[in-house]
Amino acid sequence: MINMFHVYKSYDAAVSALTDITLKIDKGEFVFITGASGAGKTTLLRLMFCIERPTQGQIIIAGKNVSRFTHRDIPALRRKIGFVFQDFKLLNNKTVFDNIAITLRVTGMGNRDINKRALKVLSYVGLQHRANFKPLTLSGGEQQRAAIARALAKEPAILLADEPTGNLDPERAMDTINLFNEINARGTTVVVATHDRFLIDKFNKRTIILDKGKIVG
Amino acid sequence: MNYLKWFAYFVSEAFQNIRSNLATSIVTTFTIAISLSVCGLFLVFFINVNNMLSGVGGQIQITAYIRGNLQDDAVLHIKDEISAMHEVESVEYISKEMALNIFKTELKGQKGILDGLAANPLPASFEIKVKELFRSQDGIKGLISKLRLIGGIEDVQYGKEWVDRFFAFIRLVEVFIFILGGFILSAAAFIASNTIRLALYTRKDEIEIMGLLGATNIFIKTPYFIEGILEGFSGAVLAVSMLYLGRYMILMEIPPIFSPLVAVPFSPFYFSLGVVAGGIILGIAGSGIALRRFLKS
Repeated sequence: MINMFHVYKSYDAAVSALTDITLKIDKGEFVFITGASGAGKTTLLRLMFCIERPTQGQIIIAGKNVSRFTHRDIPALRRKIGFVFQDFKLLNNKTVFDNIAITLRVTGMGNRDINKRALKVLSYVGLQHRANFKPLTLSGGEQQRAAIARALAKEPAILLADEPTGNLDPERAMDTINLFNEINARGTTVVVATHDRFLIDKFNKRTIILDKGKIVG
Repeated sequence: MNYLKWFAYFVSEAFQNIRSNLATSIVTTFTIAISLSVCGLFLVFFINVNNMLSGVGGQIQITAYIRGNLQDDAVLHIKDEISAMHEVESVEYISKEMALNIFKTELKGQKGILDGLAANPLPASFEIKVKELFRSQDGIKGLISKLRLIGGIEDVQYGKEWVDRFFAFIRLVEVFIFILGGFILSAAAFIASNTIRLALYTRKDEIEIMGLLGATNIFIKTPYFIEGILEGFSGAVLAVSMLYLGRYMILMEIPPIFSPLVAVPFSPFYFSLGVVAGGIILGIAGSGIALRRFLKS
């Protein structure tokens, strides 16, 4: 599902964020990417989501070489991948429901289907009672679940999550990973970047370890 | 979704954007209104100056003197020939007798000077008025050389010194208006587009998030363009109202003798249409420039 071949990413000649990354993540797999802060976890996910472009190397996502994508090709890719951001990136002037609805609207879905899907996904993450609340009136955990609901709404083939438990207490963190586990069980490929060793140890999944931009395990 | 549904969605998004950023939308609308009012004031000034100058230009008159021994039908023929010239607005025949009468009127109390004259020494002539389009130095010189070629015309005169000075003055006024106009228009466009940019800057994150959700540039941009059009239109309507109200108040206050200076002798409809079009263009351009930057980054 995700293949990277000798991928390098540097922001200038002196700073190399990723060095010679080659990896393969199969369809339906659940993978943790871990490492210390600054190891390159976020950069790796941003490359998969085309927020960053590789300095060198090839990235194949669902059979498409995204490293050759033009600016116009990117929206279609992003509509197929769910991304849970560490800082949630919710639209704070819209309700939780509208945040989910907008991600479906960009796919061209009609109002009736949007309503159905948004309510279904909100109920799935246990936020149906908060549908008409604006994100800033919710707790950190609720905002996190709203962000997950938004990522899941378009029923993506791949779900990428960048430090999804970073702002949560241990109990909420466990709930979140359990939720990802459920999503994965339904066939979605899940890639979670985290530095939380406890979670990695608790869930027995393949783990890619990064150190100073290189895969070390 | 069909196009109509998309359009309805974009318009509702634009109104929602305005509602949730009401203060910045009001500031943007007023900035556009003030910028357009300044441009409108300049336009009124430009049109009035132009009108005044063309009024003065209308006084440019060419006199073509006729040889003394021409028959009436030859005179008529020359008149027809001059009237047919595309530069000529009107031709008036002044006979020898009419010329003498005019001269006598101009002499007023000193008519006695002419008593000793045995015959009328004044020649018959044509007073020629030039069309507005040809009231330029080149246009007038071209017409004069054509008039000189007509048989039966003895001499052609016009106030050369006065005309040369008048056109030099017009050139100076044109350069002044061009520089001032360019400055005012660029300042207005700069201020308005920067205000829109600053207003959109507060929503930079929103624009970025939309991109991350897989929205295409058109999907992201359209509501902001509609918002720009709405703000530009409202600003323009406000500007037109302020200009007409200002003109009305000035006309009420100043003595009637000065009123032609503010009377704006042109169609108010086209003027308003021009200002509204300017507002909409400012709104679109301001949004477009800002969005281009944010979407690039």
